[in-house]
Amino acid sequence: MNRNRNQNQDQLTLAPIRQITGEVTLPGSKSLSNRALLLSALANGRTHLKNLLRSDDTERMVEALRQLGTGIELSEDWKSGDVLGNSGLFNTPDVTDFFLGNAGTAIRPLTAVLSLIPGDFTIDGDQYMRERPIEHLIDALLALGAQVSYREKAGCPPIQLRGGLVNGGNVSIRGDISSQYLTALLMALPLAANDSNIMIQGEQVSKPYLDITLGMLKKFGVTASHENYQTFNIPGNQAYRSPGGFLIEGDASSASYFFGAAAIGQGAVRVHGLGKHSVQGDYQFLDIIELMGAKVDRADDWTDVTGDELHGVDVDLNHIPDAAMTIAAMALFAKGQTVIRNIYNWRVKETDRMHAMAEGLTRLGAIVQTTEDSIAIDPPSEIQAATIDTYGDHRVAMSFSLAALGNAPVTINDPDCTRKTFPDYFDVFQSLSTNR
Amino acid sequence: MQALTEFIDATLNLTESGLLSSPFHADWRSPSELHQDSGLTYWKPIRQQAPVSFEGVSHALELEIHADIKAYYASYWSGTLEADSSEGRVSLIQLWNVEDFDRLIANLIGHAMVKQKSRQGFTVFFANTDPDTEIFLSIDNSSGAILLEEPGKPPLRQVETDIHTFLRRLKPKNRPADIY
Repeated sequence: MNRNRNQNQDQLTLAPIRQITGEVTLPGSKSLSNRALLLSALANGRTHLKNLLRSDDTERMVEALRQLGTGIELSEDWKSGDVLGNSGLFNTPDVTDFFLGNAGTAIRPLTAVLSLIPGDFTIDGDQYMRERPIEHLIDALLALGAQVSYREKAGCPPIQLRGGLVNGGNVSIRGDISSQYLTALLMALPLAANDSNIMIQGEQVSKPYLDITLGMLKKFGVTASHENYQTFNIPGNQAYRSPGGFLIEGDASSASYFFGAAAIGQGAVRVHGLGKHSVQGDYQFLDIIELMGAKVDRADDWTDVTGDELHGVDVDLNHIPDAAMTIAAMALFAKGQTVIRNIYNWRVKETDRMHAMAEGLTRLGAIVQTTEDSIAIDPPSEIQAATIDTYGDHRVAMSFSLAALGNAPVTINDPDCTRKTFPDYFDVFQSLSTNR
Repeated sequence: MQALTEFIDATLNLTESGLLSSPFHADWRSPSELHQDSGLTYWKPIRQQAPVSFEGVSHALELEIHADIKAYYASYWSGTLEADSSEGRVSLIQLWNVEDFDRLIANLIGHAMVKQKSRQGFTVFFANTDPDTEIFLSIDNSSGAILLEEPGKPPLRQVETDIHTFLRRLKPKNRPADIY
């Protein structure tokens, strides 16, 4: 693949690509990395972590776990590391002030875990975190017996927490806001002395993320069950057990671009770090591309996709809204119309993805019709050269890279917006490409 | 700020009592509070009689602060105001009391340092978005435009030309202020 960036790198032109072939290993996500670090630190035994992501969030988590006495050895690039588990809750550390910067994926689970440990803790964040309420999690911990006060603004960090008073019990939390404080409780409460029941008020959002949490607990030897995501039952007095090695899965949404590209160009791609035991909802993207005609081989630690002739599908993709954008780009190369339904979620992301996808597909020559929550795409007979506006949205940028598998160059505006989740996406894409 | 007043009126119209509520904290009081019951405090936004001043910030940063920023924060004592937009949920940061303003200023100075270091223009955050992200909304100090931002990074995009237009297109909601 030839690619040209102008001097200020605000555009990237992809020359037509014939085929995508090769192997790729995808980085783990910051939330999965942080969950794996925390569970490994609480487990008995040493855990070898593979595919950790180095980011501000994970750096804050590692700092905090070291402050709590955890031995953590990391390779220079952090892609592998060993965590020497504490065999249960941490001892009260000498330094009880925790600074977690802007790491939302660290402050929530750590606060829940610290509520189980005797000691007086101060938990704080940077100027951004101090403007974000943490009150719902704190309310749940208060209901379970914790003593918490707010040092400055009620509801926001910094907080003063007296730990060691939570023994499990019954608690209600709202499910319609976020899955992340429920995740925090699910990771902490198995270590409480008594059983816990969490009642969810309202419809639980982000169920796939909760499935990921439950899947990880299981891999670390802990059980928690739920009844239709409305009540979660967590037996107390459990112990996390190291699984020995733990692969932090590559992001299944990011993998979808390579799978999609291989499927289009009659290529073949193997993605390491993602296999048939994946706990991520977006892995179900593969079921959809199989429906479209691609061949998929799912192994324990890797997944292969081989391309074949693709045909349009009419599918409800409410369960995989991110990977659904890749399906929309693949529709350019499928025979017949593709309809993607129930994706209202596209309109409420960083950008109006419905608008961005419809605009880009139209510029490439497709005939596109959208409704409030669906998109119908009739592919062009020949893809036209076009410039795609990404609106700063990493998934729009990555999805439209697939359009280069036609016979025309595709220019992506603001390609560096992929820095959010996949800074070197276009370099990896290039390494797998064979030009026409 | 007329658009904010209209937004508040529409929010209060969603309630039977004309009051909003949030957990009561005895050591975090606001001129907007009217009464307490069963661990909740009932409040409604009240005009700041002696409006907060951004003069100190202006001196500290050697910057003129955009009139919209001053008007937004110097209008009411109020808790967080909730809304939906076509792009998702919005929690409007408001000032609960004078100490809350002091905190805000301290956090804004921290934000200004980050901006200076990365050679980006100064912005002032005024709202949080999706609770599962760290994405926030800010007012661009030079243009008054509404920007979507992530901590420590260049703005993601402009979402509106100014705060007045932005507030007028929000749909007020009566829901408790939430964790991220």
